[in-house]
Amino acid sequence: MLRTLFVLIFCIRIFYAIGNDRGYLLYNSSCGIPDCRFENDTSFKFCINGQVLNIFNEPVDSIVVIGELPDFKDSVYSDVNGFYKICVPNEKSRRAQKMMLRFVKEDYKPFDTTFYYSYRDKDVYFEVKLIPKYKILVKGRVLAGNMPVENVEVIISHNKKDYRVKTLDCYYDDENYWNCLYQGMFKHEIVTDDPNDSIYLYFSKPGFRSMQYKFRFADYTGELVKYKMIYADSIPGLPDNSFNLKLAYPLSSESGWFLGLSYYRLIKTGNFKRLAPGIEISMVTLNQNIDYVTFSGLETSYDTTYITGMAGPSLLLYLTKPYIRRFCAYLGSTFALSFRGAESVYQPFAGVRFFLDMNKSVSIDIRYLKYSYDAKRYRFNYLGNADSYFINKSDERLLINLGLQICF
Amino acid sequence: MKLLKLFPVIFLVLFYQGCEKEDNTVLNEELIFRNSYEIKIPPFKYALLQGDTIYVRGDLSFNSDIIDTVPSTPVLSWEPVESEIVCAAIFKESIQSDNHLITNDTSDIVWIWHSGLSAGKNGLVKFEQGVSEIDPVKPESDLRAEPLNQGQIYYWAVWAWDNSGIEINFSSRELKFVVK
Repeated sequence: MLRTLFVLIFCIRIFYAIGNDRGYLLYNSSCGIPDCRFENDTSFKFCINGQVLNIFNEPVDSIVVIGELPDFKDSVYSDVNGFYKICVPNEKSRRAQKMMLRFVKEDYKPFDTTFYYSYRDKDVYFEVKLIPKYKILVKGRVLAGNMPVENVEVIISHNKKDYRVKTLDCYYDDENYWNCLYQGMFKHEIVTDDPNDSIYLYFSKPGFRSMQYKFRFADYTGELVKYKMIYADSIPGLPDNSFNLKLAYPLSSESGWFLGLSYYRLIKTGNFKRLAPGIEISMVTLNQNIDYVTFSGLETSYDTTYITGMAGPSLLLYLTKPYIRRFCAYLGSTFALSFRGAESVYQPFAGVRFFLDMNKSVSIDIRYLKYSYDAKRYRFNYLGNADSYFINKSDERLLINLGLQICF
Repeated sequence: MKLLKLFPVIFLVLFYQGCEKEDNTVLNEELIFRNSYEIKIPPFKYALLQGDTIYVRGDLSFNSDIIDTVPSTPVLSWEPVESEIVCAAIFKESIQSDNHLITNDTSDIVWIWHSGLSAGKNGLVKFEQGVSEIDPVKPESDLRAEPLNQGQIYYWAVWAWDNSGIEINFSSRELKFVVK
């Protein structure tokens, strides 16, 4: 009996061997592809051709098609028309093999299928239709006030995955123009199965308060969302040099404009970094209306404007830490010499400054100013033009200066 | 940074005090102040109490060989000018000027009128409304001018200042008359 069984098995193997050759010929004639046989392998290949479409009948490219046998795994990508072809070994020793076919792409719902095939099966055409996932392109612009802010780190968190992007800066475009069209903007594509997912946005940049926003996936309308960042209370890496422009408008009847330009450099002595020596050049105008007697009974007046310039060293002491954004108070004094007569002019001042952004600030300070000048006076002459002469006068003023400072 | 470099330039442009340059534009060389606008003295006439009529040719007599004849207390007339401070004077010598100032000795002035006096108006002044000299201390009544000497040639002109009284803005030609 046992012997009969061995003989039967031997006969069956011979039969399969003959069938194998026939099968090879059949594959060769049917698919017409010369590489239908693996190199250095006597086994056959079983190939699956097909196309990947979405539910809108549009071809889907770059789909990863994975063919998996218990002891073999291979993957291919679908081409631009959605076509793919994947081949797996079709060993003659097996009657039927279980094959799992998977179609995977991030923005489509995965599709898995399993089927059996035997070495007798011909190539098959397998078309699948994938269901796309929900997808949005999150777009935003980060602003500080009305100014776009570049290089803000944006962390987009979705389903416990964090995606990091940075807001764009200005750049030279292809035509070599300085293009700030996309300054402060960012975008990122998010794909999900569940439109009720929450999306978290975290914004951070040195000098700004970190912010967090949250919205529901389904609530995003696709518009460019503006996110306003708020400056932090201090300025990181405040530059040591500063350039100041100060201006005072005439407030009283006998005052005039004041314009001052100054440069200061913050120096560090030990741990003390609040002292800034510098230079200042300033101009002050004085408008006066002088009563003037001509003929008896004819009293008139004339207007004069005196411009006095002065320049000299100046010293600034910050009462609070200079990198404080708001209400940074300071004291200062300028020891100047006037351009005419080289008369020394002492100008103490005190004020506060407020930073508008990272390096520009406005300041308001009170300045005491006392200086002398040569005032031109006239003596009426009834036979012609008036005679002029000069007298030395002094002007004493308390100015309220409005200043603009640029740190660099 | 480019803006920073521009700040000193803007500063100097705005506040540089340029040299004061006097305006010496000559407007009319015939005027006693050549760089002033003209005060026109058109021909005029006036009647005396005796019934005689005096004709004064005004600017027409300038550089003429014929001299107007007026009484010893003449009337002066000119086109009013837009100035609050006006002065008219009769000199016994020809009027000399360096364009900014009349250089005659003040003793050459025998009669003077200005808009600060109580009588007379800009454009028409009688002899009685003027004074003999400018003296802010004395009252007008003490400065009555004596009638002009008969047979003597006198010179007169009008000039006016800007409203502040510093510069001469208007002046007339030097005219002359003889007292009959």
